[in-house]
Formats: sequence, C-alpha cells, structure tokens
Amino acid sequence: MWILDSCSRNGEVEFWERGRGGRHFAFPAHPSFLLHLPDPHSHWELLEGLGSRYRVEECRFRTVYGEYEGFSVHAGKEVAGAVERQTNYEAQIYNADLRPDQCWMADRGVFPCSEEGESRFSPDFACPLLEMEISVRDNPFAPGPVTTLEVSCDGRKERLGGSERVILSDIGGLIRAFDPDVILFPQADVWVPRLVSRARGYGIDTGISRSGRFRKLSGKSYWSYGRTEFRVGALIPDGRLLVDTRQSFHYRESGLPGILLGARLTGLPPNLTSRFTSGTLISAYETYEALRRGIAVPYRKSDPEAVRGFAALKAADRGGMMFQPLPGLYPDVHEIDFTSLYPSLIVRDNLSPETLACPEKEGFLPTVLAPLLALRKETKSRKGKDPRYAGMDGILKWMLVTCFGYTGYRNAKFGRIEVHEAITGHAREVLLQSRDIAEELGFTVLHGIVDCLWVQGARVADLKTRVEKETSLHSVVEAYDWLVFLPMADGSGAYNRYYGRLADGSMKIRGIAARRGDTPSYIRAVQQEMLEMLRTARTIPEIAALGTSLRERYREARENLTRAPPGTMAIHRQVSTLKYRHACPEASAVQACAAEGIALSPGMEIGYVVADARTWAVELDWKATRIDVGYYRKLLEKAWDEVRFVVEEAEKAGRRGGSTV
Amino acid sequence: MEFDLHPSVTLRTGTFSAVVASGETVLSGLNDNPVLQRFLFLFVSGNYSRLLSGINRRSVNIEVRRAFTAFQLLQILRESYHTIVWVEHDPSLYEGAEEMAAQVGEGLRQLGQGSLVVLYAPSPDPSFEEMSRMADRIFYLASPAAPPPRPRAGRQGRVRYPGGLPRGQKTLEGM
Repeated sequence: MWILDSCSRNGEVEFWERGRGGRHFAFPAHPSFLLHLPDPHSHWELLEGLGSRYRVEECRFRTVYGEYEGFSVHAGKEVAGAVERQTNYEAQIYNADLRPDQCWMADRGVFPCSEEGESRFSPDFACPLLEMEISVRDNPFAPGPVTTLEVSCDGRKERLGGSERVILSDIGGLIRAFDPDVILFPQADVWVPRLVSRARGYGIDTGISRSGRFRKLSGKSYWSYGRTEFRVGALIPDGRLLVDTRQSFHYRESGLPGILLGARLTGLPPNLTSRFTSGTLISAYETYEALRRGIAVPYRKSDPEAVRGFAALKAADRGGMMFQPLPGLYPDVHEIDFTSLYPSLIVRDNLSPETLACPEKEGFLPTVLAPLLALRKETKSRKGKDPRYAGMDGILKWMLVTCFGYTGYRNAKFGRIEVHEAITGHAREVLLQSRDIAEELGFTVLHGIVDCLWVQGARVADLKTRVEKETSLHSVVEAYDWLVFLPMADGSGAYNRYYGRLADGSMKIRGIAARRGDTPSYIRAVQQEMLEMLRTARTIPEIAALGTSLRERYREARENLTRAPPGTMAIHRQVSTLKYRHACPEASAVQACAAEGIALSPGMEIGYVVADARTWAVELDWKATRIDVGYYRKLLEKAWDEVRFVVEEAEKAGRRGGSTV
Repeated sequence: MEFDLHPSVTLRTGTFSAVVASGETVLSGLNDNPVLQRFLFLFVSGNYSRLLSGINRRSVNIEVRRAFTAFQLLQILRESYHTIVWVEHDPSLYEGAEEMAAQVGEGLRQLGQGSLVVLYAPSPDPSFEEMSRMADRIFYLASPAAPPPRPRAGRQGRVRYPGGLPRGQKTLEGM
C-alpha cells in the first residue's frame, strides 16, 4: 500500500492509502520498552511489582555500545518514568518514546510514500498525488470572518465569496468532489484551525480531513543555532497531506518531492516531515535505521563526556576553521567546496559515539549515513540536468547539514559531544591540507570557511583531483568571472559577506541585504536590480563602466523612498522574547501586536515598519501608514555601500590600468 | 582539606556548599589558589560556562566534564572520584525535567559526604534553590560595587588592525 498518512491512537496504528477512496487500515499496537538494570538484584521488588501488573519478559537486546541483558516491559512511557524514579535514575531504558506507527513500519520494512519493492534510497519514485491549492485573501492575524477563498485543482479554478457560511460550505463541497491527496495552503496552520472551528459552529464539515478527525500538533518555541524559533501549532487532517506552503521550511526549500523523500527516509508521515525541523528528521531517520537493525534507542541522554584535562578540552573544542579574506574585488576565482563535508568525515573516519573507545568497531552513525550521502551525491549530480531532483537534493542537504550539529545536541539519541569535536577537528585538518596543496600548486588562497576554499590560479582541475585524492572527499568547483569580499566596519575582510558572477552568468550572493531575511522589500528590490546590472559585467572594466548608471539608480531609489508604499518598508524578524529590557523596534512591535490582540510566542516572525527611530515607534506591516524616512535612507545607504564597494574597487583597478585588483 | 574561596568563605571536605556570587569573585578565589594545585579538582559545567574561560589553567590543576542534560550530570556525580567537585549550575538542564533538580541535589549531597562539593550560580533560580535545599551551607556573596558607566562607544566597530591592513600577507592564517 502507498501510505500517505499514519498515526497512532487508542492502542492502534492507523494508515491511509493515497487516492480517491484510498483504504484505511488499523492494527493493534501496544506500547513496550526495554529495561536494563546495572544491578537487577537490588531492584527485585520493583521487578516483582512490574511483573504483577504488566507482561515482563527477560531478554537480551543490542545497543550501539553492545549487548545488554534486561527485560522487555509491555507498558507505556509513564511506567518507564516511574521505573526511572524508583531506581534513582539508575535504570537504563530504551525504546520508550518512539512513535508506534514508525516502529510498526520499521519492524516490517515498509515506509511511507512508496510502492511495494521500492528502495528507500532511490531518487526515482513517482508522486502520483492529486493536489489542490487553497488560499485565503484575508489577513490571517486580523479577526473577522473569511471573505474570499481561492481554490484550484485539476485545472479548475474557483473564487469563493459571499458569507462565511457559504464559503465554508462551498469549500467542503469542492474538497469532497475532488478528494485531493494533497492540499497546498499558505498559512494553513493558522487558517485551518480557524476554518474548522467556524465550520463546526455552522454545523458544516470542511472535508479537509478524510475521516472528519484531526490530530493536534502543539505550537512550541525552541532554541536552535543561537536563535529562538517557533513552530506554529497545527491541526493535521486524517488521510490527507496538508502543507502550509508559507511556513513549511521543507516545502519552501524542497517542494513536495522533498517532503515525500523525507517521509520515505524517516518513516514519518509527510504531514509531519513538512512541519518538523531538519534536526528532527535526521533524528527520526537514525531511529528508523536503528529499529531496522535491531538496535535499541535510548530514552534518556545519560552518557556524559569523558573526564578531560583543561588543556585537552581547549584543544578539542575549537569549532570550524576560517581564514580571513582581504576585502577586494578579484577576477577569475574558483571556489572549491567539499560536498557534505561533515557527514563525509563521519563516514570516512568512522566517527560515532561507540567508536570513540573502540575505533576498530564499525560505527552506527557512519553505517547509517553512508547511504544518505550516496543518495545526496546522486541527486546533486542529477539536479544540474533535471530540476525535478532539486527538491530531493534540498531536503538531503539539510538533513546532512544537521546530522553534524545533532551529534552535539544534548538530547540526540546517538550523539556525543566528543564526536562533534572530532568532526570539526578533522574538518580543520582538511581545510589546512587543501590550503597547503593549493599553495604548493601555485594558487593564491583568498578565503576559506569550514568546507570551502576560494583560490586564484590556473589548472583548477589539477587542484581538485589532488585535493580529492589526498583527502578522499568529494568536492565541486565553481568558477567566478569576478568575486568581491566585502569589508567589515573596521576595514578588515568579512568572513561571510561576498558575492560574484559565476562563469554561467548567474550571481552567487551571501550575507548582503538582498539575501537577508529582514531587509525591507523596497531595499531588497533596489539591491537586486543593481546586482542584476552587475550580472551583465563579465570583467572588471565592465563593472567600472556601470558606475554611473548604478549611482544614478541609487539616487533615484533614495528620492523615491518617500513615495514608496509603507508596506514595502516592512522589516520581518523573529522575536526572541516577549519581555525586552531596552527600547528597540522589536519591543515596540510586540506591544503593537498585543494591542491588536495577536497572541505572540518567542520565535514567531513579526512584520513592522519603523515610524520613528528616535522613539522606536513602529506600525505593524499590514496597517502601516508612515515611515521614518531618515531611518530607511540609512538602510538603503548600507545596501548601496555593498554595491558601491565593488564599483569603486573596479574604478581603482581601471585607474591603475589593469583588470586585476 | 579546606580552601578559602573568599576571605569570609572557607570550604571543607565532607560538605556540599551552594554558592551564589559574581563570576569575578569566584574566579579570584579559584585562580592562583595554591591549595587547588594539590588536589584532584573536577569542574562540571553545563551547556554554557561563564567561568571556564576565566580560569587560569596554569594556576589550577583541573579536569573538566560537561553535562548537557540533568541525567548526564547525575551520571557524572556518580562516577566522580575527585577531592573537589565544582558544579557550575546551568538552569537549562532542568527545562522539561524540573523533577530532576531534587535528584541532582541529592546526588550532590551524597557526593559531599566524601568530597568537597560546590554548586555555583551567579544568581539563584528555582532549580538552584531546589538543589541548595540539600546543601550543608549556602553562601550569598554580594558583588563588588560596579564602576561608573563608561561613555557609550561610537558605532565604528572594533579596530582589528590599528596599524593598517596586513597587505603583505601571503599565507592566510586560520582564525
């Protein structure tokens, strides 16, 4: 069966097939966990008590560290928690917090979104799903009824209007008539709970759920990579894939093929892969793999790092390697980029929690990441020729990116901080080794960040071959006609703000206003237009020749600032807290949301326009009527500085009478 | 064994002490303390440490372990064989595992029967207070008077190369 959705409730796992009239299956699934007691005799009373209430069987089970003797206890997580408390947390518990539907599939070697006999690691799979797109024109954060709803499915487009009751009745009729497998809906996780609640009030079924039932996914704020993030709560319909196309990171990055591949790899239903973070997906993937291999999954992260001397800790815990570039404009640059460097090092160097003590043992992490890496190499090479593979490549890229960070995550089931440090240590060696090879072959090394090296010189193919041979790592090379490394405020080179024209005529930009998520759309559009002009310049004299028109564009943009609609000046940022101690625009925006009755949580994104920078007065983006012109002129000037630098560098080179800088 | 963390605070073997003090106060008590050179000293931090970077590694003979969950901290306490165990409190260890604070407190108390155990925090929070209930002694050390505020710096940013950019640089050095 082609599983489109799955869940567990009331002691059963449930599965829905795709397609009109797709079948619904339910199987009994009783919770159980594995228990290992370092000294079982000292806990005989506990074992006796457990045995009198639940089925308890003596067993041996495998963990990544080896085999343990223990017990299989046929009871749920609450009982596992009680066992922990009663043993003063000496009990080691496994498989207590797994998703029953994922376990059911892993036990039987089946996985979602696949025909029978397909390989999980094949990029060639069909997506035979009927899609419906729904969008609501109204503001999702403004109270009041829904006034307009647009629906398109199977080539037919409908615009639903009238009273809210009529709209909800009509949408229910359309969904039942088409019976789509997938609903693509911007802000679905905000709208659907509201639509379902209103429809219930009118006694109408929206038809969004194939069974009429929904599962609730709670919203939560969490800390990730130094930022507070927020996952909005959701109502997940039974038997149908509902994608919030606005909020789903994986949909935006990888589209439907990426979400389906994520489901195939992790054993999670696509409704969840579209909403979960990449870290949760890699964790679910490792769990599915562990279950497939008969390896027990620890319930608690209780294995701490080993005792180390202060100096050893300082030497090990140093993070990624970076070189500092000299700011400037450089012609004919090559970027050598190691594909999925960190996961490749995990595989190459057999880095896993259990191999720290026994390096000769085949590690769990390298074993399970190897097929994922191979699949990524395949999708990466195919996407250049066939864009259908770009989405799959996207989700694999993010899963592999996070698999490294996940080794150091405090709750990682198969992580350990020493593995994390070993990976960065090996990566530092790889970058230094590559720099040495490049310089030995006569290249000038301009810049390097963790897994990338920017060089100038001839015969880059030789460099690539030599680096790959000596590091046993796969790399890709990109050629730039020109590349600029921007300066920091003190004049030294910025590590992560650069852009340039690639040999294929496209631009690659990093860290500048056009790329930043909080740049107002007006300023982004102006800088993008300037970058588009720069894209036409293949050489440095050609850049210099664009100086006049670029300056003219900046002057125009500066003058037109006062006439631009205030909404185009909206700054979108995630709020890290709801209690700011100092006056700042985010604090004012939080207050403005509260005044509008919008319930905020840390990590949510807010949009605001700065109306007065002296007092940090702001207006919410959808109600903005005025802007602080001086404030936005400064933002525009900063964006212009990023372009002006390249023009001035090109003009300087022209005055020196050469094309090099 | 005993050592003076502060003129008014003497810590002894066989006790579990909870200390609330500024980082500077604690570092001045730890660094260059000759007593700490002679004994096995275990420094346990959490996800982040305010003290670790300020400890002079030449003046203190310490070993380090980091606990990223309360369960790991409990395990570290169980495995500890050191004369002095200094635990820098990290409240994030107890987020979602609030009930573990009492367990860790009990672990610290038990360890304190044979070692010198300190639970340190710059300011108390609910999980610290839960654990410090098990302590033999609790010290609150007032911070030294703050110096007058310095005039606000301009927005030029830090000058990395005051003498000009290293134009002659041939080989890039890792940062």
